[in-house]
Amino acid sequence: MSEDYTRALVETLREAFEREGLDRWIAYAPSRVPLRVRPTVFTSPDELDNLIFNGFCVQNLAGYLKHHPEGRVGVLVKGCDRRAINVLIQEKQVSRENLFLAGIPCPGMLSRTRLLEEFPGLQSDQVEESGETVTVRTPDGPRTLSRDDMLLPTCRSCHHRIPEDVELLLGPPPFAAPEAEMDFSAEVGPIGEMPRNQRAALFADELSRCILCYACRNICPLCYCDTCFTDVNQPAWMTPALEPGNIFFYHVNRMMHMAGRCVACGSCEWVCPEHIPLRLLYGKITADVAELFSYEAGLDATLPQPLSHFSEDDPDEHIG
Amino acid sequence: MTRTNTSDSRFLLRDDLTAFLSALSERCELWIPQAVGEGVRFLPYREEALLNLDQTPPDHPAKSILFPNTETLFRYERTEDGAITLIPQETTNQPLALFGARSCDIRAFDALDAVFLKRSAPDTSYRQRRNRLVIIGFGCLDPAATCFCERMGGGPFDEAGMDIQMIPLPEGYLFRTLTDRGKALIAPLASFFKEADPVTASQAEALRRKGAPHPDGAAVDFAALKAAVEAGREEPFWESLAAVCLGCGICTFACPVCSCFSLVDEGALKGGRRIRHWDACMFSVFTREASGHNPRGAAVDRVKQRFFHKFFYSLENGEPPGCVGCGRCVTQCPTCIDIREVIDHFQPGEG
Amino acid sequence: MDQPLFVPQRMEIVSVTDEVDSHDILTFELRPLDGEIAPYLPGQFAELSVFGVGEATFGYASSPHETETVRFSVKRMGALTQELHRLGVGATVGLRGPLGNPFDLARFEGRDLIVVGGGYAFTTLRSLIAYLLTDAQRPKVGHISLFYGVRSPGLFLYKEELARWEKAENFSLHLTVDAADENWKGPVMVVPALVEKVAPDTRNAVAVICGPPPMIKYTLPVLEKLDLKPEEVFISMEMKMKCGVGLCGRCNLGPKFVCKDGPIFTLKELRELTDVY
Repeated sequence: MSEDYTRALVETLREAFEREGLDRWIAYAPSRVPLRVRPTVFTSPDELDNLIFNGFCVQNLAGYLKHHPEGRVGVLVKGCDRRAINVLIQEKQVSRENLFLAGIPCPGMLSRTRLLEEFPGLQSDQVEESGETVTVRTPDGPRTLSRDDMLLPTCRSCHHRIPEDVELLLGPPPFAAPEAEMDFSAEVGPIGEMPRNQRAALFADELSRCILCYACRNICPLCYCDTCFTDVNQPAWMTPALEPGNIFFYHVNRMMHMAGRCVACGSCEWVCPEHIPLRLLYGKITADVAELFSYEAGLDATLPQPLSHFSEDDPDEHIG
Repeated sequence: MTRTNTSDSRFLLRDDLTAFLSALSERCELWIPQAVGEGVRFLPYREEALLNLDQTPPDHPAKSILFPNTETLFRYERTEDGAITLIPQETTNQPLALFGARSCDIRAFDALDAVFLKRSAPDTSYRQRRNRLVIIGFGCLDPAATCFCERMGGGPFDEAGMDIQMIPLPEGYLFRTLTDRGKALIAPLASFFKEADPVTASQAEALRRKGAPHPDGAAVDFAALKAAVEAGREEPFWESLAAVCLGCGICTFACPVCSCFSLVDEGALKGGRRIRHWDACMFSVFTREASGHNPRGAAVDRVKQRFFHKFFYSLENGEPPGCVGCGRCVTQCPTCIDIREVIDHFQPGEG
Repeated sequence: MDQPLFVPQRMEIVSVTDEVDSHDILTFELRPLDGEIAPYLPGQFAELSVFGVGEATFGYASSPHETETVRFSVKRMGALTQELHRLGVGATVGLRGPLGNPFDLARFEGRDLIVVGGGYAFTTLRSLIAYLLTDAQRPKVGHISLFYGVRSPGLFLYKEELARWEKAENFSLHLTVDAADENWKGPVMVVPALVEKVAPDTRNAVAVICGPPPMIKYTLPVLEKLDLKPEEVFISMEMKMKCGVGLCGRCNLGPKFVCKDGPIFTLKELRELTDVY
């Protein structure tokens, strides 16, 4: 069933690639790496034979637009990819007219970590996605799980799976988790409500594993500075010494830079080789922006961002 | 290093391992693979540490015992009249024991030695750790699907570089002492061991000879690979990798061989220190000059540098290949840049 | 326990000379606080430390015959050089060196020398020429033609020395600027154009080049036109460095490290290296 879906998807995208005279198409291709697909820049319609879409298409493809791509580019977008593109448009990193967006109603992505926990050594071809379930072929026979239970944490509280303002809205895949019931603000709420020292201890404990590989920064579709504050040496805000002060400084600063911009795609979280729940640690800022400004990033490219725009009725309680 | 003529095998019951490590830790600076968060990394022994010998390979390489992520090379103090005093790194002669590292990580030490001891002036801080190092290696029962150590000339039970090889068996561990240094390390702990009975010994021997349960492709011919990479240095293949590379440090930090570093000062008026820390050829600022000029300014330059270094420059300079087949970069790369594909691309007909 | 690889020698600044009209190049004269000056030869470089800021790479500007002190000319560029420029006589800095290979003086013996330099990189050529002009070295080489260009006349380094060299025997000095001022009587052209115009006799010559990459790039074809063989053209290369001893991994040109295998390469060697790095 999902093979038919992929074949139809390829033909639809190929047709658009040719018709629109695009220079490139950014989507996903299979890889030999267990439970992971490769983001791929397809440069001709023929190459699309290799395109796939499944529950492992976790990489936010907006990230591949952040260095001002030349020409007209097609992008296969899920809800979060589309929202990140809106932020890039707001920040004039990409021109809407250079993009041809094919929106895919996102079925919710699967957590590689959860699956590997449950099935050590699991390979991609042992996983079959269908309807609201995921079936894993094991040596002891197939095991069927609820897709909802295997979702990437960020997808469990996503209410924007269907990308809006796209040139082509594709049909829904024949596999999808039911609509999310959780709310992101509710998810990060407990962290915000912790007593200060307990929250500090949580941050210190989680961040103690950070190795400063900067994968969270580099995968973020919205981190596009040519020179990150981490690399500035006049003044040197931090050093690369792997110590709590530097690690904390890095994350707190990146966190502040994401305020009002983060679309909660969760890339920073799943990419972390140390499994630091960055989405949650950074999430209080997103929740605060939602509460203070009734603003959710990436929903509308024509709106100003709350933290780069002054309005007379901005909340000012903190000024006292 | 003196290797003993015949390996001397002793058996440690599984239940005695904790007490053994505790006793060993009194005699040396002991590093063991520990569960930290959801991962496993090699860290100095602590009573409360969660030993983990099961993750294959541990998602952090063992290289940090010889080449720490961050190390202080010296401290300086400045008095009020501006005079500077330099305080060098402290040194010790205490043995440094690495427990439970697999053969891939230990083979990688050859490559690190080639850089830090043989390439030019020996790196004194690396050498003082290397000279202290005694290795209790771990026979690897369950290579992962992404492991390819045999293709790179190693094997799960390869004992090269180990002072003791520890073979996991149902009831416990067979310790095969391979060098005098290994013998000296555990001699005072003889009471923990019993003689290996013939059945146990033959079980271990069978495991050792079995090799990898699922070798992934044929052994790499490094001379041919080097020639092919050199000849293919302008192939569009590199662009296809660069197109998706994020430029993060995961692959280099996870690699047991990668050893690029930087030197940075941390200082205040009264004093400070110079540190050496892991750096990565994949970071765009790695080669960026004060003028802004960057000889490896494009992602493709950096991707090429990483793989050329591993399969071309190292070999050209008579150093070991820059890959031991542990597969960590394969499983950890967020965009599936797969070093096995690089090998297969330039060594077609294999795999 | 031998000397730790990365611990520098402490040096005291004994003089600071403001070299150019733009006041952004200072020459620091340093005397060891620990031990002796490690023997070095022209073309080699060192890592200078400003404690608390870090290290950066500089070619020796002094000549080995100047035994009491070493000198480095430092242009204000980034964090380290700015801090260094703030230090005055009496301050303590660190030195790791010499590093890299020197000019292969044996290959200059009995030959004429064409020396081509531009801008701030001239400092390492000053070391070479000052050394070759000593009584002990001078008889070993033939005629020396020095080509040296800067953007404007006030930017020449070592002006007093240049004036002395102009009068030296068997030495031709060819200075040029990109833009003249009212007092400038010499040529106004880029260095490669001047080399081409003067067309020094190359029949028994070797060439030495050190300067900004564009100058090197456009001088090489001129030297080839003058029939210099690639193995007789010596180039001093620059790349970002940290360790200076071939370990840290950033300054390689293909399999060679500029810090360890260079910084002096022949044109022939450079051509044999891959063009990717």
